[in-house]
Amino acid sequence: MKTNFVMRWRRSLRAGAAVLVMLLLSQSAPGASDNDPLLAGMAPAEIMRLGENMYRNGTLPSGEPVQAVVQGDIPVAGTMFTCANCHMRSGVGSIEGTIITPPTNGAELYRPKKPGARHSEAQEQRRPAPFITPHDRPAYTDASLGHVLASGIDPAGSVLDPIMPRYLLEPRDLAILVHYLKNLSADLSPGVSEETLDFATIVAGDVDPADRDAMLMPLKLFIANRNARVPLFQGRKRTGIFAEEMDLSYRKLSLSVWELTGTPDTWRSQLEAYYRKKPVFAVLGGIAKGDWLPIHAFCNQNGIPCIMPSTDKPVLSEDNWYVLYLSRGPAQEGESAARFLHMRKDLAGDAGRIVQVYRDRGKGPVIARAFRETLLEMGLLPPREVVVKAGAPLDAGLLKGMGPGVVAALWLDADDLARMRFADKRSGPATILASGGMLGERLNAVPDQVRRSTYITYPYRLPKDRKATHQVVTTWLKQNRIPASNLRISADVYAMGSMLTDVFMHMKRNYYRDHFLDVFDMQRDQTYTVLNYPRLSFGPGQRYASKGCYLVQLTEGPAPELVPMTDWVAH
Amino acid sequence: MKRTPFAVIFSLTLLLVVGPAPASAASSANYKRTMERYSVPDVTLVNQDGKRVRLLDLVDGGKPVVLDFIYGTCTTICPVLSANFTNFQRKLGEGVGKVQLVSISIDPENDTPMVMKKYLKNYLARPGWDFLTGSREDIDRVMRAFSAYVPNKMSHYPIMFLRAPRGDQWVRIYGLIGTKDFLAEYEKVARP
Repeated sequence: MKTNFVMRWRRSLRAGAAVLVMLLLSQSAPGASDNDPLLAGMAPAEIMRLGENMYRNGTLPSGEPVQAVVQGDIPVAGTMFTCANCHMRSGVGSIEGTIITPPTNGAELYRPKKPGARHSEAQEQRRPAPFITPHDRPAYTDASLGHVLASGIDPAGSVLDPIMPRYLLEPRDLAILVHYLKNLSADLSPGVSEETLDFATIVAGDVDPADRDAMLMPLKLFIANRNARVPLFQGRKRTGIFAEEMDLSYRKLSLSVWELTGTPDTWRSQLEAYYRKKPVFAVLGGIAKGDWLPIHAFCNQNGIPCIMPSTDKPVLSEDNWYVLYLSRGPAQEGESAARFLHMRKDLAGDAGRIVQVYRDRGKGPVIARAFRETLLEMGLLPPREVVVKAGAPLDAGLLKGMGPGVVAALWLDADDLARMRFADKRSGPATILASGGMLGERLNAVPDQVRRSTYITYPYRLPKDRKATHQVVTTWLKQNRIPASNLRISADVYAMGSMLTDVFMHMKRNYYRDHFLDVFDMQRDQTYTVLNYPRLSFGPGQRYASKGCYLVQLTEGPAPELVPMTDWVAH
Repeated sequence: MKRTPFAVIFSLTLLLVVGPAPASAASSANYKRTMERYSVPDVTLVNQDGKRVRLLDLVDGGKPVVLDFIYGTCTTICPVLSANFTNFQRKLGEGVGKVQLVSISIDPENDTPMVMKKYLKNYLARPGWDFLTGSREDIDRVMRAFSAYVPNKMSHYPIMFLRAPRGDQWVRIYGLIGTKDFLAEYEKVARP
């Protein structure tokens, strides 16, 4: 490994020499245009693809990692971190702790950075100290951008902070990166006009009308409330420090409701027809009867952000960038149950056998699959599977048939669980696992006699911790005459709304879809505005905001208390 | 075009590569170094292999220790801290096993053993660099013990700690440093 690294480092030195030649040449040809002879014959889309691969993945067109030097003497490779790590996917930059990473997108790089460029001089002078630009510079040209990437010296002659890597690139690779940056977030995204930001929400399939209202009514209210404040913000033009910025960035929001009918395989063409009619900046919320997959694919393939849809069937994929889900859905329960068994091997009983029971439709198979895969990942034996057809009668004596000492994972709903005959621990399972997501409000379907040996996955905030937020959300709904037809759904929309207020503020005028998601990724963890989960957390590429799941036990009686047996997140 | 002699290119390249060295030397003044006494809490965390590790066992293992707080999807600070760990291990060469590097996640919900393992692989980490996650409560205890508590990962700051084997004082380094400064600090700890 070391040899490879050193070899790459040596190769980089040679590459550095090549860059210098290019820099020397570039001095005599300032302001080289897009028709860079080094890129002759390459299609613009191909240059962008190669540039994107360097910027986002740290990979050179040759397939080798990009090489650079940071902090003066630390060699770094593109496998470690990339341009996008700090400047974010949109190039608009980031703020983390005490470090502010400035923008590297075309729109910002190719315009001068100095007082008056975006603010009047008087406004600039009123800026609080932490916001004063360290050094102004003229607009970059292709040549000066290439120069700063290699040398860290900007067109004003200022030396960039050593935290900015100095890149060791062959001239052609450098030209590709320059071309990419020049075109990165150069134009605002679709769905943005001078006055309005256009959004859509989606109601797909035969959704229960009460659930539809629970999603749609709070969302419409959020938009109406925000739009009502537009005149107030416009009035700030004459007063605040960032008045002009605020004023120009504050736009009215519009919301289209995209109703998708028929079977899910027809949703894609309906989505495309809606989009053609009126392109939107992003999709907010949404609800579907069935899989989110067709919407997920539409959004990812078209680069349209989709924020916190209400779905039990999120698509679990490492390649997902554009859909920000609230959680991993039922899979989170299966994964957490498996990790719990791994930690508590004492619960597996004498035989160490695990059986899982579920119906072949709904959440059961999703939990079962995640449970099985995680058990295997943890080096445990795979479970025996008992799959019951949807609608078919459930063998009430199933548990007795399993014999003593097993772990029975019953991924069933409350009706099925209530029909089961539970043997005592001596002749029945040593441990029972059940799904809080499937039992819903009816956790008491677990009979008293087996509660001591039953552990329930609970992917929500504990009832005892919900009281304050519950009060806030229900009061908000009541004041606005929105029926609490499905509080879980409405509460998620409430949490999204409170985040959106923050996100819009931080976006300023940078209405690029990638920046919209970048700003979500930089959000602080959300706790007190969230009713359903103890914490929503974010980060670049983190696409499932709630990441935990308790294992709880129940006290006796018809209205049991939930006793957590694990932390929210257990590894 | 007249070919530029290789020696000139090479010297210029060297200049380019080591060019910012004065800036690096200047950066010595850009970090704050203090000596502190910390009481490491007795918590059990989980490493990149999914193994449970008692933090005290790791830091009291008889080797000099370097410790920092990072997370897998950090945008700016951690990549530089971690690249420094990589280069430090590389500079140690065969002696890499004589130092214990410990990175503690401040995003324990997202930093699963799988995420941490991939992170270390991307940074070409060699044995002796452990990335630890755990319950938020335990992680908070560790952050507090090192006077490095942040309620939110997005508010963290560049900080690292060095300690001699069985020493009772930690060198606290606030700010991002280059490898030269890192090695100098390490030498002071390892060979006081």
